[in-house]
Formats: sequence, C-alpha cells, structure tokens
Amino acid sequence: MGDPLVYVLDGLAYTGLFGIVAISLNLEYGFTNIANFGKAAFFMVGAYAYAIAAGAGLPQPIPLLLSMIVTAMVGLIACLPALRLREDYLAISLIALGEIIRLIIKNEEWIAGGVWGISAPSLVTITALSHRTYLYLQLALIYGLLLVCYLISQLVAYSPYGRVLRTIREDEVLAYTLGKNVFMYKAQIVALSSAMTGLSGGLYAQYRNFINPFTFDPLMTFTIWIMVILGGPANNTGAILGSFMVEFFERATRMAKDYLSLPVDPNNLRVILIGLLIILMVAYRPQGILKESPVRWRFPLSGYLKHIKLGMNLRRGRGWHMRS
Amino acid sequence: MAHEILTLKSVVKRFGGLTVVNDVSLSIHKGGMFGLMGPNGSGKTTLFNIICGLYKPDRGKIFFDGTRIDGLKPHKVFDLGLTRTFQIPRILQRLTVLDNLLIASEGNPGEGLLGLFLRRGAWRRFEREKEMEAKEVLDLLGLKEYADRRACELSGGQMKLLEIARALMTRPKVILLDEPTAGINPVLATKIYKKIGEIRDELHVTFFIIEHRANLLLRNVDWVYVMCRGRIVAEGEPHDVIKDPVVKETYLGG
Repeated sequence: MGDPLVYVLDGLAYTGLFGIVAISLNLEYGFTNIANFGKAAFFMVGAYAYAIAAGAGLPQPIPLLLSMIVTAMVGLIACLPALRLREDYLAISLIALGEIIRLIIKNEEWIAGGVWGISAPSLVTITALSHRTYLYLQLALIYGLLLVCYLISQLVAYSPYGRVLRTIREDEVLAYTLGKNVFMYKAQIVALSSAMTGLSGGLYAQYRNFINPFTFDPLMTFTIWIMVILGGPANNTGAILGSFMVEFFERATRMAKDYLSLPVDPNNLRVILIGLLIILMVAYRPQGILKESPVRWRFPLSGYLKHIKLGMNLRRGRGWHMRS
Repeated sequence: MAHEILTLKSVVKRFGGLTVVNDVSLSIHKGGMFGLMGPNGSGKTTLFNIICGLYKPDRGKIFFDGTRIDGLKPHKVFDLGLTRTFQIPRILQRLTVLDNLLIASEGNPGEGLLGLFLRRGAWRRFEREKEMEAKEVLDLLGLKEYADRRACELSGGQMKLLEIARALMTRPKVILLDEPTAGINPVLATKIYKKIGEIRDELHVTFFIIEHRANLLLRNVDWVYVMCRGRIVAEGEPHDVIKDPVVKETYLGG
C-alpha cells in the first residue's frame, strides 16, 4: 500500500459506510429520542447476514437485501419489548443484546466461523481492475446508497411524519393526547433505521471481503454516537459531517504519530482529541455543528432548483414577478 | 337556553379513602361560556381529567353531545370534539409556533409512512390548507408574527395563548380551559378573556373554564359553578353567585 491516494479513498469509503449508520441513528436518537446503543450489534447482524447469504451462493443483490430485512427484524424483535423501557434502560439492554449476539457468533463456530471470521464476496465482481479503479467503483456504490438513505431520511424528517417524531421526542404524553400512536411510530423508526444499519453492515462486509466478531465491539456504537453528537443531532447532513470528522481524526492521528514526539502514546491521541472535542461541544454547542432546522418541508437543493426554474422563466420572457 | 352539549350526572371519584369529586352534576350548554371556581384542592382539575378521559369516574354518567363518554380513552373523547388545555402549558419548545398548531390537525396523509412516500401530493396539499387555517387561528390570537419562531421564544402568556390556539386547530365543540391566566399579569389576562369571547362568538365553540381570579371569571362567563371539597356548592349567573352566602364563606373569604 504505497499509494497514499488509496489510503484516502479507503477513508472515504469508511466515511460513507458509517455515514449511513450515523444517519440511521440520527433518525432514532435525533428526531425520536430513542437511545439506541445497539448500533454495532445491528451493523454486525447486517454484515453477517450478507456474508452467510452470499457465501451460500445466493445471487446478488439478494444478500444485500437480506442483510436489510434480517437486521430490520432483529431490530424490531429487540426493541419492541425494550421500547417500553425508559431511555437509559433501553440503552443498557441494547448494549447487552449487542454483546450477546457478538459472543454467540464468536463462540458458535458452526454459524459463521467463530473467531476465525468469515469471508464475504465483493459486490464489484469485475476482474482485472487496478486497485484504484476498484476503490472508485466501491465508492460509487457506497455513496450512491448513502445518497438514497439520506434522501429517505430527509423526507421522513422534514414532513408531517417528522413533525410527529419530534413531538414524540419533546413530549410523549402530549403526542398521545393529540391522538398519535406513539408506539407504532417508534416501531417504524426502529425498523427503518435498523434496515439502513443492516445495509451498511452488508456493504461493509463486501467491501472488507472478510469479517470477524472482533470488529463489532461496543466501542463501535460509541463511535457512531460521537458522529451524531458532533455533527448535530436531528440534522442528517450533520450526521454525515460527523462521520467524516471522526474518520478524519482517526486517520490523521494515525499518520501524525509518525511525525510527532509526544509525552503520551501517540496511539491514544485520537481518543484524547475526540474526548476533548466532545466535552467542548457539549459545553459550548450542544446542538452540534449543524443545528436542527424547522420541520417545514424542503427538498435538498430546492433553493437552487427554484433559481433554475426562475432562470427558465426569465428566458421565456416572463418577469420575476410572475413567480412568488 | 340552547341544548346541553356536556352533561355530568352524579359523578363520583375516589382516590383511596378520599372522595375528590363527590356527586357532581352539571350541564354545559352549546355556545356558552361556563366557569368553574373553587378553592385549591376542591377537585376542579380532577373533574376536568374525568371529563376528558384521563380518569375513569367511580360512579355517575357523562354525556357529550348525545354520546356517553365516561370510561372512554382520552383520544376517543378527543375525536368526538372535546379538547382541553393544561394548567402548565405543554408546548413543543423546539418546534416553531406554526408546527405546534399543525401537529394538532387530524387526518394528515403524510403522518403515515406509506402515505408519506406514496401520496406526496395529497399531504402537501393538506399541509398548505392547514397552514392557512393555522395562520388564521394565530391571527385571531395575535400570534401571527411569531408563526415561524421557535415556541421557546414565546413569553408565558403567549404560551397560554398558543395552547388555546392548538386546541382550536382540532375544531372542537367544547374546550376545557384549565386556568388560562395562571401566572399572567392582569392586563394580559383581561386580553386573553377578550380573545376567548371573540373565539366563542366567531367559531361558536363552547368554553368551560377553571379560573382562580373571581373578578375576571365572573365578568366574562354566562354561568358559573362553584366547587368546594368535591361538591358543587353553588351555581348560577355571576351576579347571583357572588351574593351567595355559601360562596362568600367558602371562596371569597367572607
């Protein structure tokens, strides 16, 4: 791996993969106030579902779809009883669930190879590509799906549906008295969000070509939470930005340790810096880097689209006053 | 008077050995403005909670517009057209004032996941209509200029008005107001009552109001009930009630 560009592209791929998970957590935590601390578990379920299904020889893209469906179902089964708990208990029970699933996969070798891991075939099957071109194709795949998830989340969040979600977040009792079925909304959001997480897990598996249980420790959940808190809860763009920042910190500190001589172990620099950043964030800008925007529905880029239409009208000889 | 829209017949509610509402019978007429007063702990808010379905009465019957509603769940009572406000306003702080109203509108196709994706045109049309309606309501209550502000920027009095506005968005037949002027200065309190009167006249909504400020209540309602220790001790037109010796003793302090 002498090519520095490959390193950058690899970082971007991870940003995209975790961007999807961060968006999905944002739907749960940012908009609905469901403290899902089981993200790593659901991510792992998606990855293993993909690896097992693809390993069994199912044609693409069925393994990827399966990783979404299976994860959505696991999410629902895990959360339906747990959603009745208060949020701190929900968080703890989901961390526990994640560890249970991970330990089962680790110790039961017949499921997916146990500690030896399992290989997962790539979705990009064209042979004889340079490593770089292969990465570009992977990036196109990952970012294409990230865009789909982003657009879906935008529609869910900036719509009457999103208004109900925010009402549940602010005052559950009020949501009930206004005739909203709070439990049903929560279940739908958990299913949708888990499906996205599963999709990202499946993408991760095919990108890495190999997965083992050690990757999906609870720390991964916290990393995803950091992305959402940094970028801005209840802001989908912020979640992607957060994912980029965390990934950047991880890579930059890993590189910086070759050039710095510090009194601490430079390997821990990342943890120290991110910890510091979180403290500063929570103290001085708790709403995150990008803050929540109002519910009023706005298609992303609609501001620009309006100008384009306006330009066309002008060309047709209509005046500015015709619009508005 | 016009026909009865809300009738309570010997309603009793006990919490353990304590009888909080004791044999209360009253009737509210359509289009009227009714008051409920009484000392702290006399059971006024409990009575409201019973009417709107939060508590089930131990005995007695409640009729709303011809339907028996005692024992129904709150959202069912809400669907029939009976809305209430709370003593401490429940406002969605981080949402805009406009969104605080729009959340109360029923039947939005965009509030279901399927409708959200498949019936985009329908819910956007619905939103536009409701937005117009909400702006009219805000205009009526003098909150129009705050429509796009976040609700946490409002003052305490404006939050009270916002609660009334939200109640109006559901197009109710009856609104129960639990102390609409608690913690509000006298000038604004008078204004709030003026608004309530205007709403009654324009939209023909019936109001049933808990109020501690006797002078304010008696000046604005058509009929007043006085509660004390769970019982209705007096009722009548304001100028009669105020002369009632029982009321003077129990409430106005002799």
